[in-house]
Amino acid sequence: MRRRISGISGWLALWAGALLASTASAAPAAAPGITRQFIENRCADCHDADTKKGGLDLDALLQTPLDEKTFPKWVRMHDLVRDGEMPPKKKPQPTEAERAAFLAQVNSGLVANELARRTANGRSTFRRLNRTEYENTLRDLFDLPGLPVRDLLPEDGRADGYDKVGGALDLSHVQLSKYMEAADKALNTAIATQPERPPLFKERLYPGDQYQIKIAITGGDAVCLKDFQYDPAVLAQPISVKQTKPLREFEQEKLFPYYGSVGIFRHDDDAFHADFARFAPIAAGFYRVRLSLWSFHWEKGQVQPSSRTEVASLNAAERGVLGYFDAPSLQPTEHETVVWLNRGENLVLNAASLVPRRVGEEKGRAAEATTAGIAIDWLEVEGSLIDAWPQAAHRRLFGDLPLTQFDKKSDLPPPRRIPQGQRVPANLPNYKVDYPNQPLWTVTSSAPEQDAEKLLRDFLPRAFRHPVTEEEVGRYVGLVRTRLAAKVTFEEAMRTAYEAALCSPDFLFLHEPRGPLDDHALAARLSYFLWNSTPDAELTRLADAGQLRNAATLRAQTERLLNDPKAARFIADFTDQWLDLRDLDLTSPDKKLYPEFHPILRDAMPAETRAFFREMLVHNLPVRNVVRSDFAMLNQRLADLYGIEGVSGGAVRKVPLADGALRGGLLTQAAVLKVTANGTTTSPVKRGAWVMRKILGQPPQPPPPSVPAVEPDISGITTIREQLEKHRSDPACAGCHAKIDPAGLALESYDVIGGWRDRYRSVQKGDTPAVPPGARNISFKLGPAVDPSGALPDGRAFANIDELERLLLANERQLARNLTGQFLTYATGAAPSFADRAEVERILDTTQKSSYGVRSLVDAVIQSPLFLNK
Amino acid sequence: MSTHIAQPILSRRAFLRGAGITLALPFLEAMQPVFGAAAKAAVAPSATPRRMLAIETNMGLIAANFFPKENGHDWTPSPYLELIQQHRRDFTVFSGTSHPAVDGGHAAELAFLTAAAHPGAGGFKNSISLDQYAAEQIGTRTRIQSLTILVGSENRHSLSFTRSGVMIPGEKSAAAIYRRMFVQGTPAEVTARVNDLRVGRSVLDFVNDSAKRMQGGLGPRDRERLDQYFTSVRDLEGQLVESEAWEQRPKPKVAVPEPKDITDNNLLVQRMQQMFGVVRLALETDSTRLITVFINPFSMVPVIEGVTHETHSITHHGNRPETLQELALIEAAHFRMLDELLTGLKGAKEESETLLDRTQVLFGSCMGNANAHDNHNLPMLLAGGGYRHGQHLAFDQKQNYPLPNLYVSMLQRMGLEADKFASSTGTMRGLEVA
Repeated sequence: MRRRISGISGWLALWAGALLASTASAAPAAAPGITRQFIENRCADCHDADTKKGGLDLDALLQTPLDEKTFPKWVRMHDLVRDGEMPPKKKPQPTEAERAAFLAQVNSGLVANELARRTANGRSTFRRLNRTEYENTLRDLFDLPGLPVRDLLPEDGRADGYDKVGGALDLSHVQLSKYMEAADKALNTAIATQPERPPLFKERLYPGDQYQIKIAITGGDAVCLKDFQYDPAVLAQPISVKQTKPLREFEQEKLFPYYGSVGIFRHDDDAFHADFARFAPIAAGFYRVRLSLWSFHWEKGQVQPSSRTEVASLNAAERGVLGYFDAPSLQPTEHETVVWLNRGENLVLNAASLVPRRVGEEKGRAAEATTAGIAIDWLEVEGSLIDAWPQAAHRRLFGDLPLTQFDKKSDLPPPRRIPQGQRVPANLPNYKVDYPNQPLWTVTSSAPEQDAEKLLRDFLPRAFRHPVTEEEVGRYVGLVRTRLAAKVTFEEAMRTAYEAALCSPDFLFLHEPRGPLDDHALAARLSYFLWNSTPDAELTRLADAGQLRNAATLRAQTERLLNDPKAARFIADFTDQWLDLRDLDLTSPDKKLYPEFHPILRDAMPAETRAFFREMLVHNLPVRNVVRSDFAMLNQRLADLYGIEGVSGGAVRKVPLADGALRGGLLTQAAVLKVTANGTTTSPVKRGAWVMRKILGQPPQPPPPSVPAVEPDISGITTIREQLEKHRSDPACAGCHAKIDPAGLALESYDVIGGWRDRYRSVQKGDTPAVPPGARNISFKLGPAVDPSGALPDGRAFANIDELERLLLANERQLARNLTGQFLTYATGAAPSFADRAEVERILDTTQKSSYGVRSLVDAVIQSPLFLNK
Repeated sequence: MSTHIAQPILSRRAFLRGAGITLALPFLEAMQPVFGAAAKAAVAPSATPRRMLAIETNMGLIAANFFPKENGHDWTPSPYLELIQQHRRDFTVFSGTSHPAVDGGHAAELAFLTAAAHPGAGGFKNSISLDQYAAEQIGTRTRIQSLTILVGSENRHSLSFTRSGVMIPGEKSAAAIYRRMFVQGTPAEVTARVNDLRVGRSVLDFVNDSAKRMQGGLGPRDRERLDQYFTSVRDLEGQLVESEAWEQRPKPKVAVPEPKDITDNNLLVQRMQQMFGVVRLALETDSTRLITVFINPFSMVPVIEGVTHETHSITHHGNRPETLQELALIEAAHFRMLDELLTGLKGAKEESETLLDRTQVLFGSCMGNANAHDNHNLPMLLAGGGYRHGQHLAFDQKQNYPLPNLYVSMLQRMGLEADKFASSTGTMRGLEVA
């Protein structure tokens, strides 16, 4: 029954908005009558106040003014009509002209309305640094590359997928007090506490001289080796029964320290860390570490060639992996790396590629074991590596002012130092005594106010990322003056000023004026996009000179920033958020079902995805690679998982893929497959929705409330597809699921850790499978077969992932549109909105000739008015 | 089902000794703020101190092992309630309740005490948690405004959120809490600390001016963001003033020695026990009246006989019987610890009442069925606090009763004027004050 839609006051408001902003729209919009008529003729049957199909009451909507709340409804209406989804196929269809006229009018009305609302604030919202940016900024500002402050701060909110969006970056006293704490920590680390450079530590450490490894040797989890044979120097033969002699007695008999090589059988676990505890850094800084590794096969006391190159990791205690290093069969191989270590952080070697087992607790122990082993000959440490003294961080705060001895008898409070009790976080065996009763040194100035002014005039603009007025410098000098008057040392007075600067909104917030960004705001936007941190000297110089808004300069700087090692932060942070890799550890794979999952595989997963994205960015690869590529970025562990041969060692490298390979593109990468599954089962719905959100840029509507989720069943009786089909038989669910599920169904061929499967793993019923690489004993079975077939909503069918990918590739521009949107959100802190659509299309037009090359997209985004204006 | 629990870290006797000492403290007089904002806030202290302890374990509880079958007073204890059966007259079990529009599976743990809608959705914004709501009004009456505790793995998550929806990092160290409450610095340390607090305040004054100077050029929405900065400065300043007042007052003395933090992640039961011990000390000495404890067994293989798998993966049990059994061992351990806690609170007297009578202990989880990540039919119980307990209040399993109503009741029981919390529609039906 057709009814007239009553009233058009809502529409009039929309129209009024269009009039207000008519300068912004090129062609004046047609009369609102078109829209009203279209709705009356084509929509009102189902969506009037009586029927309200799908909860949509257009009577009410037309009565409501167009504002932030009703806007999304209009956008959705526009899009459904544009895509031909409304009116539904089975209803009479509007003519093309009718449809086009309606769309044009709604479009111009919506754009005008949004632009009018936007004038007061601009596209993006004033925002603070998120905690990753905050940490990077402090690190770069002070030249303290490993300063750990991020974890002091509470997690940041995210909107539209990113923690770069102002509306989600709330602030409370919790953060503010942590900012004070972090500033204190940064200043403690930065300020030199002695005039002399600390002594350089340089020593070769032997595994047989480290407590934990000695315990492993006497317990049968490691063996002494010499000339690629068992060395009876400590134990006459490999132990076969529990060894009862305490370590102390071995030491008394001078059997330890042992200076030969040690072969380790045991993977790092809760109770075992091959800790090189003879060294702990006394000062945070860079250290050069060299180590010599090889692998072997242990056959009941005999050393034999190992079947493959094993991989060990070097870890910082508590903090995790610093790097992975190959240990080729019977070939001692030296590695060198420079790593940042914090005070007191021990180095730990992990025989990472070994399948976790406890030879020392097995029957027959080392004497009877057949196992792989990783041998370490020695480990050298040199550091901390300091170019000049005092270190750069100190000079950035105090220039060349002298350090003088603090007079402990003076009535000034002594300079702030890490309290004695806390000075030794671990025992620091390399320094028997940690400067006991040393004189206290402090920065002094003979002309405190002048020096303060000079130092602050240099520091404040760098901290605030924009020029600072004389008046503002004066305010900070005033703070120093007040402190000096309260009888504190010069160093202490300056600390207060620096702390204030680091807690001020000028430092914490990205200040972008309305309208076009000035050069300094642009420099900051660029560097927080591509470096996730503050601009460097060159960017600042160009901004000072007013040259950055020049398109060619901006393009050259984009190139420079992308080519800088700091771009790795962008690659990691962007992929972490775009693809949800931050959530990689939210679920841990069931140990029974996935015994081949180990930390080394887990670490390889994001490494693959980052390397892949880097490859696309460096070589400006077409966006279609997101779905399908003829190469993959793999190391041996990933290649094992993927069933690809000929990849040896821990380093991730480019591997060409043969035709018909089951990998290539992002969708089939282990990190993506893991993060879209829980530890036990996969859900086509979850994976399908992820593909729509992240890859296709067509986020599904949220599920209606009160629909129970499908309860996973891994008994091996029903498959998830069968369960889902029951769920989808409800017509209320079928509409959305026809769009969501297809990609997820095709991805059913991949299990929760990204391995290929033809049959589901089950814990109860089924056939016994072959042991997968990386596992030792398995208890799972092979259950029902996987059916990865399906059809897109338009009816195009696919038999498997290969065919689905081909279908997705048919619309490259949509893939590019999505990625452009992801970049824009990350870079500007605001997702592209309705009014931005035309500009997004323009970006796509300019990048079309590169087949939407990923680097071209980044460049076009940066050159876009969306980036150049607030 | 037998569950192995290691030797208590602090023996019950040690606690009772501790209680004996603290009982000698005239808690109200000794703890009254005497000057500064603390004194102002405490102009009208309620005659009876009321306290609140909220505990969440975030992976759900096996429903059949928790909920009693019968409603009302005559319920037969379920396997878990059997473990706290001795307290059955001191708690109420709720079924058929949940937070309206709080979904998102695990994400709902963020909204356990806030009831903010759709925590799993993009752009989710949290709101103030129950404890912080109360802390805003009565926090300054104690040395520590509120304690936010985490018994969990690597991150610093917690149940407590500020008014702007920022999570307060959970404290994982029992020793650190103990030191804050009981370890008195030397006079020199106190002076230095007071000086630091004053410098901190002058820094805050200074940056507040910086923010004022920034205000001019901002649009209305941007100014809202900067307003959060002003609020943060004001809140923190208030805290520093409070801290200074408390810094100069002696800390209570207890006979229990400083606990040694348990670093092994997997000693879940022992860590719960240690934290509950510190919680009890905090309540006994009136160091704080508001505590949240977030128990997050994620990525742990708790050291309990019969448990060999990581907790989270077990909760995805797929209804496998042997996995359910393993999960039940972990969950039962929670109730053993809860039992010990309730016994302890009942054993401590304050004036004529037990500490439990004055402490509302909320215990529950954000998920009804973890296997399906369902956020309905939450397992919830409320102990102590001076209610007419002993019942199983059963509501509709399909159309759940709004749990925020319970929070309104709890706030009112704290003596606060509150008639609404998040999506509440009233006070908890059927729950009466004794």
